Amino acid sequence: MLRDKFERNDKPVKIVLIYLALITMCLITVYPALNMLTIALRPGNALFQSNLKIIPDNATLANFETAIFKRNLLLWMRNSLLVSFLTGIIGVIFATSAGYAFSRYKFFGAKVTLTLFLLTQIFPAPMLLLPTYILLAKLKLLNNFLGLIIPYAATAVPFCVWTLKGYFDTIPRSLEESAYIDGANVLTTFFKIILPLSKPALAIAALFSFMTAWNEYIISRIIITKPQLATLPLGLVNMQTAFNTEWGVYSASALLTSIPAMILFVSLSKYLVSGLTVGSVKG
Amino acid sequence: MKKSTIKVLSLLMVLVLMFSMAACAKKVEEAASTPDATPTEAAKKPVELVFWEQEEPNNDPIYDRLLTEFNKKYPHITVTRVHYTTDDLRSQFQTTVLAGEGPDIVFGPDDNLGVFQTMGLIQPLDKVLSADFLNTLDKKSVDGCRISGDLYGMPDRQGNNIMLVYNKDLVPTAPETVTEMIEIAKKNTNAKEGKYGLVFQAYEPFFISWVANGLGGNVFDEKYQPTLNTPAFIAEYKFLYDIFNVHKIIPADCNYDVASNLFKEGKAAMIINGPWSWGEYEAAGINMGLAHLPKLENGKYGSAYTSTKAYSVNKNVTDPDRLEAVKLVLELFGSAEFQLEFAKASGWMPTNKVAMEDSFVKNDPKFNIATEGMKVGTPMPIVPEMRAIWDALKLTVPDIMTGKITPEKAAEMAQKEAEKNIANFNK
Amino acid sequence: MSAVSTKTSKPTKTPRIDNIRNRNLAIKWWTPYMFIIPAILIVLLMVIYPLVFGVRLSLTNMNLRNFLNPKIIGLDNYIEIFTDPEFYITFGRTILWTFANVSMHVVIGLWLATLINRKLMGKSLIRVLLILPWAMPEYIAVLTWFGLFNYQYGAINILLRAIGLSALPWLSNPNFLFSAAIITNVWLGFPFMMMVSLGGLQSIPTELYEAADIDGASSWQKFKNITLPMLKPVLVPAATLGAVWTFNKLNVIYILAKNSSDSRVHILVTKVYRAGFDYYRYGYAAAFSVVIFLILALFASSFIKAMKGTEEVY
Repeated sequence: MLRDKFERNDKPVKIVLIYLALITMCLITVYPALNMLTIALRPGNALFQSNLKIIPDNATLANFETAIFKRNLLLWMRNSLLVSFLTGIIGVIFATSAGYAFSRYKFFGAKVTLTLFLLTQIFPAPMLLLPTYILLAKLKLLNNFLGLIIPYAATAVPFCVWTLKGYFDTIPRSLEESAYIDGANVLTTFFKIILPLSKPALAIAALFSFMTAWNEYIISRIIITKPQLATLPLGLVNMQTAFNTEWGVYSASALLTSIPAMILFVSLSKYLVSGLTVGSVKG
Repeated sequence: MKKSTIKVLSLLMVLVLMFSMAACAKKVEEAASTPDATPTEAAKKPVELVFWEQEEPNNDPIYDRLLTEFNKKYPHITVTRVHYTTDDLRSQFQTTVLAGEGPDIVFGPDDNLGVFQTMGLIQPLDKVLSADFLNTLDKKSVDGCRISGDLYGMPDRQGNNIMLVYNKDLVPTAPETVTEMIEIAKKNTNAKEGKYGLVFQAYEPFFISWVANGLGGNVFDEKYQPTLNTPAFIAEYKFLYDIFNVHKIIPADCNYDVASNLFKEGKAAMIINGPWSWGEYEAAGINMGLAHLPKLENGKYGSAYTSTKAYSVNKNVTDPDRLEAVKLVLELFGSAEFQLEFAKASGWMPTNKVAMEDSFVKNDPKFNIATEGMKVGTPMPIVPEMRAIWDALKLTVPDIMTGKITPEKAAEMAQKEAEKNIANFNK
Repeated sequence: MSAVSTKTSKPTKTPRIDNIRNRNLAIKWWTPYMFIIPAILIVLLMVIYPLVFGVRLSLTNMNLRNFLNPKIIGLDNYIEIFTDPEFYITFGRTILWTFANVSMHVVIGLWLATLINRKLMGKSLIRVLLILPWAMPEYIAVLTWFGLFNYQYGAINILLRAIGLSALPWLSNPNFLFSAAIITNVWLGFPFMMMVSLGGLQSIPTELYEAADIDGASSWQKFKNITLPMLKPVLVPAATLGAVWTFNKLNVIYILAKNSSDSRVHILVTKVYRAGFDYYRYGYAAAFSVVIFLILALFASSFIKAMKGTEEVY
């Protein structure tokens, strides 16, 4: 019955109002993306029109064609996927182990370290440019994906550590203790018992690290100068010139760019809610 | 918890201060070591050059093809081309050269030269390039790239001056004077139908600078102090004020994309824009005409800023083999063949004397009129202080557009802001 | 954020593992360090060097004319910052900017989370649509909003005119420009708060609400007395982090204000960017960055202190 699809206590009027509110908000979140679609479908790289039509007159896919076949979109996409996946993996590995230590052990320097992680988040970005470049130049990591992955992981790890620590805190300690009694060591316990229970938080950490790398522009701008290594944000920004930006191609590329991120969001969405326990209530 | 935050912070501060003090002896610059300048063994050892540009993507194929041909001719030299946006190119070049890295050749608008030269990031070219080669180029634009007598850039194109562009279907004959232009614009304005007489990127003072220039206004005095509170700049602001508030021939909030769109859709009779845009308008099917910026009250044509684009060489390039390779590449960019290709693609005037006399440049109607405009134009100052001027002129534009302040007040405010901005440069 | 650690790990701080007689690694003092070393190393690498570099740079006069050979000038840059009245005005504006954004993020996020935290048809689709702004690259999203705010052709003014209101000069008037930046940034940021709130809401035991129902509590009373206090430990750290991110948000204002050189729309971090990259005042910009860094460190630590109070709830 339809009744089963809603809360028992909600009156029909309330349900209608809730839908109204949610649909309005969805329109607000979706409209800018639709606006990009309109620009992408419009011939002649026109940025503006004087009506609110979503599908413009003489809609064409030519801009998508240009984006894919005439620009290096696919190359940038491959580079970005590579960098973002590696950042995601490294972010998850580092953050999981650190989060576990913070959750389970009392050790000298724990508070200081957690505070140190907070400091990474309060750097004003312009302050980082020059030193990051010089540092990575010294490490010979310019024009190297590792030169991107290291700073990205460093940016993403603190948030992931907090999330994972919060999640681990909700897992009862008795599980591990009984494993220890059975003779398991720390690593087996960690891999066999804790990790399988932490999938939602791992998903969040992976997604957050991935998105950090996927959207980042400022650092990649200084580290990558070889065209064949360019990531998506680099490629997209380079499409803009002083005056004559091809807005249609640009929007088409931007939309195509959002697709992998959206797929990731949708496929992980069931974990997103339960995994975000920055400061867990369950404590 | 608070305690530990303070602990971390103070610990960091102590560390940081220690490092800072230790570093006082050294200089910041030494954080960046200069690249190895190993002695040369064989004359033809392979050289990999990196070259940065901020060109339109449409010109990419020309660079790529000519550089591939170049590589066939000189197999030991490979040139990697890297594209940047104009702002990124400027700041990235600073960062990388500071770290002892950076491209060998950097290409960009000539106003970058002033910044790079003042910072000491590029080297004089008089010894890199031969006098014979420089003689094949237009002397005026080469001299434009000299700073206190030394050559810091090799210009490969000049002009880029904005013109009055009109839709011949709406405006049969181009206006001669500003008054005529406004009359024609009024006739072609119908805000209800979304039609306007005259459009341009109104937020950037670059697009109205022809007024003050034509009236003999100068942004600087000899000491590079701003002189914006003068009749010429008041007149410039008045032009902007009038078209928005008195004649109402331009839509509110008219930025570059709005202006360009209106013109491409045939909804704007005239637009002020530069050669980079003309091809696009023709492609959009507009029956386009080009004309002088109209005559001002003193009877002189509006005088647009002209500029060059030039190639400069990183100061870290010291190895003789590299310099030799750089020289060969710059000679390619200075050649008539290369410049003509660009002229055809981009509408810039070449600097190579042979290319300037080429039949295409001579006979193309667009080039003819643009050259006329260049002749009455004003060379853009290449000193870094120009940035302070642009920011100051821009400051009051929104208020002028909405009629909130008078042109006199705007000029006064621009002057004050420019003084403040220039003081910031000199601190 | 570190407050979270104190709170959540309070019950059994020291693992009881020590009591267990076995040969495993858990009893070694260095076990936790093995776990955190990779994360610490990568963070230290990317934090210490830039910080040292920044502080060192802030004591020099590195600028256009002294770029390659800057001199140590002591605290001059800091003195210039603190004696400039505009600094305090900009600081005030930055606080306004941060407060307006974060409070809207939390209010909208929490509101949507309470709406969606129930049985609802099409819930997962709605949820995906609502987090779209999070998935879109920020740079591209802001550019899109730049177009939407155009006076003549932007969708927002077209909409305003359609419902009989007059169009607003979003991008040419500094006050409207600032509002436009806030709208854009609220759009970008509320999905994150929504997801955080949703996660928190789902972990509140339903028995609490059932008990309140028996006592005859109204929806508002339940929200005020159960939901809010229970969510506080989730929302406060998230809001703190959000405030730090918003305080340092460069892109939104920088892109929307690209046609304006009016200083009345700038926040501290956009001023740093201008000083450093438009006016090449690297030393001064570094000093400014250090000041921002210290302001935020102070803010974060006082927030963490405030958080301590909330722990006693449990």
